[in-house]
Amino acid sequence: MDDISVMLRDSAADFLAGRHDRSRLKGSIGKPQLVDRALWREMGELGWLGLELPESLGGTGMGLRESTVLAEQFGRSAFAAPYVASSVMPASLLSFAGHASAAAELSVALQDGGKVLTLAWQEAVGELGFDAPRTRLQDGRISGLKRFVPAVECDGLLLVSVRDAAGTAVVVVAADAKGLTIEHQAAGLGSIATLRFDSTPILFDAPLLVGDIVSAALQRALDAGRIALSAQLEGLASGMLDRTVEYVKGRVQFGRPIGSFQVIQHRCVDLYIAAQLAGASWRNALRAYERGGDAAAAISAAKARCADTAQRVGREAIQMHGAMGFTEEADIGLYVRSGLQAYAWLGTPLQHRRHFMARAPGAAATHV
Amino acid sequence: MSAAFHYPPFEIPPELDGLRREVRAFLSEASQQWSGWDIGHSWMGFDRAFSRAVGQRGWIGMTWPRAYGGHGRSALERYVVVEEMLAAGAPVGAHWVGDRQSGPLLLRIGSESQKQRFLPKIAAGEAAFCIGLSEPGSGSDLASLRSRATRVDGGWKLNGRKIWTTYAEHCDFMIGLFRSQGTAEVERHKGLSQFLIDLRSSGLEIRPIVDLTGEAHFNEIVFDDVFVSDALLVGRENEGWAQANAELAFERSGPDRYMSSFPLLPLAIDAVCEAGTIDRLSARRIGEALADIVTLREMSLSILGQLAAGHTPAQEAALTKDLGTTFEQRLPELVREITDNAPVISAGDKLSEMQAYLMQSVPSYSLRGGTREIMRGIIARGLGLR
Amino acid sequence: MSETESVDLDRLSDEEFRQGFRSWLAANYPRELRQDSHRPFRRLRGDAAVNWLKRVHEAGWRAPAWPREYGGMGLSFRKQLIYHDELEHAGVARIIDLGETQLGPTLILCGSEAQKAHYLPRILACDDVWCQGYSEPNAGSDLASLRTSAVREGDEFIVNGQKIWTTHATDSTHIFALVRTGKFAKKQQGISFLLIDLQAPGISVRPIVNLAGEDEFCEVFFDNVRVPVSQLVGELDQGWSVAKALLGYERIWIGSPALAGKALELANTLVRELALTADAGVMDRLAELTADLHDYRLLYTEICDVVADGDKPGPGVSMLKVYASELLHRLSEFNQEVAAEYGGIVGDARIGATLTDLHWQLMMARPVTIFAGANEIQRDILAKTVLGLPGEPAKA
Ligand SMILES: Cc1cc2nc3c(=O)[nH]c(=O)nc-3n(C[C@H](O)[C@H](O)[C@H](O)COP(=O)(O)OP(=O)(O)OC[C@H]3O[C@@H](n4cnc5c(N)ncnc54)[C@H](O)[C@@H]3O)c2cc1C
Ligand SMILES: Cc1cc2nc3c(=O)[nH]c(=O)nc-3n(C[C@H](O)[C@H](O)[C@H](O)COP(=O)(O)OP(=O)(O)OC[C@H]3O[C@@H](n4cnc5c(N)ncnc54)[C@H](O)[C@@H]3O)c2cc1C
Repeated sequence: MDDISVMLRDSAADFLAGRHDRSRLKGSIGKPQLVDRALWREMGELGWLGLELPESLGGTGMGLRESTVLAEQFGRSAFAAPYVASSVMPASLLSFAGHASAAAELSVALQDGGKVLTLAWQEAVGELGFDAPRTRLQDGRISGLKRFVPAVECDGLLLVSVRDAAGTAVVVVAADAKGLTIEHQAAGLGSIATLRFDSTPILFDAPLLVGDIVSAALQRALDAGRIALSAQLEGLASGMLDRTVEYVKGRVQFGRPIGSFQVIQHRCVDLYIAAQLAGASWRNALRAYERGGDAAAAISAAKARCADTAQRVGREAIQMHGAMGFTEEADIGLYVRSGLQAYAWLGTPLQHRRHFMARAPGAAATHV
Repeated sequence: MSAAFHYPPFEIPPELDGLRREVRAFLSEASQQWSGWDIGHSWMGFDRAFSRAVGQRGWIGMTWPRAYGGHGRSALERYVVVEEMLAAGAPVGAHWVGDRQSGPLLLRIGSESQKQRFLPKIAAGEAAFCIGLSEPGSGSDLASLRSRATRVDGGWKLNGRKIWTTYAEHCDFMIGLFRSQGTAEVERHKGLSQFLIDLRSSGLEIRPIVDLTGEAHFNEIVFDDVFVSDALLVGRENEGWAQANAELAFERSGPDRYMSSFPLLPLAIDAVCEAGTIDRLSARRIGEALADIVTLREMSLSILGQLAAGHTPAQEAALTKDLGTTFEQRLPELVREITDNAPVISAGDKLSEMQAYLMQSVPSYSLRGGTREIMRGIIARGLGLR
Repeated sequence: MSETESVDLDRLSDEEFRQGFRSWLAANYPRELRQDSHRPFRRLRGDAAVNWLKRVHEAGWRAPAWPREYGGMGLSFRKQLIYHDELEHAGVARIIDLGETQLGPTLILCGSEAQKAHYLPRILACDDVWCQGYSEPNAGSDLASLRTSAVREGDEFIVNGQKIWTTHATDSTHIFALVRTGKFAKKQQGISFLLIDLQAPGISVRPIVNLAGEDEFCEVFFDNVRVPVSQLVGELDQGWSVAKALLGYERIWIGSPALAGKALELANTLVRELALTADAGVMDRLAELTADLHDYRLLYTEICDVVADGDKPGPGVSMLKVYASELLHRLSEFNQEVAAEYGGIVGDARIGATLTDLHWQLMMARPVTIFAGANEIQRDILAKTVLGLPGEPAKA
């Protein structure tokens, strides 16, 4: 890890220790949670939002590498902020924007945490790509359906993939615009929404992105999102494992810590190895992304691995906590719920492994 | 080694099909109102009105003598009823513990007055029971429990804490295990006694605990000088450990240890057929699940047969529980993979509602009623390894 | 003058080194001895092994890890990784050359000048072939309970007892053994590390046939065998630390993904030959295994990089052995299961254009979870050292 990353990691750990009160997340199972805006603004003040923005849009020269450091830390402490959905992915997309004044305005709103941006690209369950949006743009208004959109705030800004006569484009819509109905559902520690657009007006008079660049820009944003989400999932897994190891060291049954039973020990070891593999896998995806070539196989491998790992560690962590693990009061549940949403969002392990196989014939192994 | 595990076949005769049809008819009527979320609760669904209706039909305490409100029917007939209830995901929670555990315990070792007072009420679906075993410091290692029963004039004073008590808040009575002699360090299971406790007694405070599904189904109970009269000691003083353990083979091998998430399966099959998305792989996996459940049912029935013949197949029961709970736990995962169901609730869609509840609740299956690791310890003992 | 002596290996870039070794292997390694679908984990032993190693030695590619002053290549750890990677890449059969991989480095660390001067060149030239005598019938995982004794008599030790599972003892000229020389409260003390000539009177070797039908390992019996005290490595009674000195590195090499890579190649061949690529169930399992190996290689590389950057291997390297060996299990099982009836054949089967021996690959994959510290033992180590979990309390 380079110095900047170490610094970021440590300041994130400090911030989370001081400002992230997990008990505030309790009592809300099944109820959609909105974004904690005060915390979001603080993250803006700390300079953590929009790291992927180019310097021309006020970026600081940091990028996805630094975002993954934060995302992993956020995972480790089950932090609820929609960092991947509302910082990594919008920033990545904005860096391609053709509409300069719109991009500048959105970048400011993103960086200072004043607004919560989110991408609305998915239209059906199980979609991995965005190839042909059915949502239509006509005369400055859009109509159609977007699903599984995280972090939709009532004053939020939506970056929506659409189709018009010329091809695909990305437009910006205010979440409180006329002709938009939003249905929130609880998911993970936040919410996801179904958005129905019915002649909803777009902002800035013109699309944010048009032409050939759209598909590359969206792909890049999804790639960045998947990598950061993988880091967060690995963070969740590692965080759960840390907690579980602490718990089994302290919990005494039959006159000894349950962590001294070999069954428990070996299981913790297997989970530890799984978490190590997950880390290696997303770091590889990050390097592939930074090299700029075809990173599809590496990214799919990482998303599949990290999601499966978080799920598996979660299951075993509950088991090793006994009935305590099944309570809302124990933090494990927060991790598990957070992992459940991240597991499926941006593609399930099964989908990604199939994608990986299709891209990596004979598993073209990255030799040392 | 193989001599340790026996599963002689035990079959449900076709004559019981009539009873099965009767139960199904009743359930198809009653289930109209149930959401997928409700059904997902299976035997953790608590509905007193439903339990009373079941009681009226004579389906609680079925095997008990008529003198105590029972119906003198066979264990197999009870099995048919239980199996149908679980298959439908009926909210049997208000009579479950009484029917499965507390009633049979009282019948076996309760005093005559206890039997007369409690059994008819259980059988009518009027009295809901809970189980007071676990404590904050005593889970898997139950014999280390510390809650204390101290002799006083005319009875006992109870002090201490019980935890994870399912539905204590909604129940009427608890059968609780307390230390009546010696200390947790020395006597362990030698000095424990069972008591029938009225949950409305003074000095008793019940605090709900919210679980991973967001519901407060289990509770912590604080006993502060709670008085129970001598008449409410169950069985013999200081014999509570053996008495409580004798029930475990019943508790661990019933259909409730492999059918808790069963209602998902038919719904999922319907969903994939309807969507026309059934590929060979999914078909194969559904077939596998079916093979599992049929095998589990054979094992469970076999244990029932052995119990009916007066044996205590403790190891077979532990094995069945381990396999069964693993199966119940896997089912939502399987269904998620073969249907395109996102783990969010779409109101009105039974499958997704049930799925959403079960994804959160299945982790508890391998904890409640003795954890997976403890079951495997018992199985290992059966293999002569411990 | 060997080929590599003429160039300064340190001056070569990693890539130049890789290319150099790759082309040498391509030109020199016999095609028919490559690992292939028939023998994915092919090993060389006896004359075949010695002949090849001599050729390697003459060309200056022998003993990549040994310092140059002892006749090795003195490669940096990173170049050693490349070296092994290229062996895998070229399908070079494995050789259990314990003289090079274990005894040599041990002598370099702990041996006397005389021992180094005498034995090291002979190892490189394959004049001596070594086997490892640690395990005994009642000392496997619990190696420290070993009982083969060495009692000093003048300038000699008199050795009595039995070793077992000694790999390729029948091919070897010498054995390095752990023997008990003293009794202490702690059983790890009082063990010594001895170099023994297998020709010495009183030694008898009996081969044991393994699950794949090969006489891979042996029992070695010692009946009043006289060993000069000059053959003691390190201090008397300190053999345990001598044997442990190399442990970390050994666990890195044993965690190599190479064998799993070969098994996965076979898996892909089988799926193709059996026309199973349209079977989603099979392909999902293959995808999982492929992803497992893919990600494992990444982890392996990361950990090797840390060592290449100069850190000593920590206790965490135990996880490499655990994961790699169990992945090999899963892959070899997949191969056997997916081949349906072919998987039941004991011996060669022709599947389409491929000649393979599924029984052999399944059975040869079994012992990897047992030797070099069984996986259960590795997990115990990881639990205690890496996770800090408590030991079993002493019985009251
Ligand atoms: C949904 C639910 C409902 C429940 N309802 C009731 C109820 O109504 N009444 C009641 O009395 N109790 C109830 N319980 C409690 C249940 O019986 C206990 O959870 C169970 O006995 C385990 O105890 P524990 O939770 O303290 O876990 P612990 O005993 O602390 O165990 C924690 C972990 O350590 C493992 N472990 C413990 N000992 C060993 C060992 N020797 N070797 C290897 N691993 C070991 C366990 O398997 C578990 O994975 C309920 C629990 C749940 C989850
Ligand atoms: C192919 C092969 C080649 C070998 N070559 C050599 C050689 O050249 N020289 C040599 O000296 N030795 C050699 N060995 C021996 C090897 O080192 C031993 O097999 C190994 O140390 C295990 O010992 P064991 O076979 O006696 O098994 P045991 O120690 O008896 O173990 C049996 C099983 O019990 C498990 N077990 C043991 N202790 C524990 C514990 N505390 N907790 C949980 N599980 C436990 C083990 O993991 C294993 O699964 C070889 C072995 C094999 C298979």
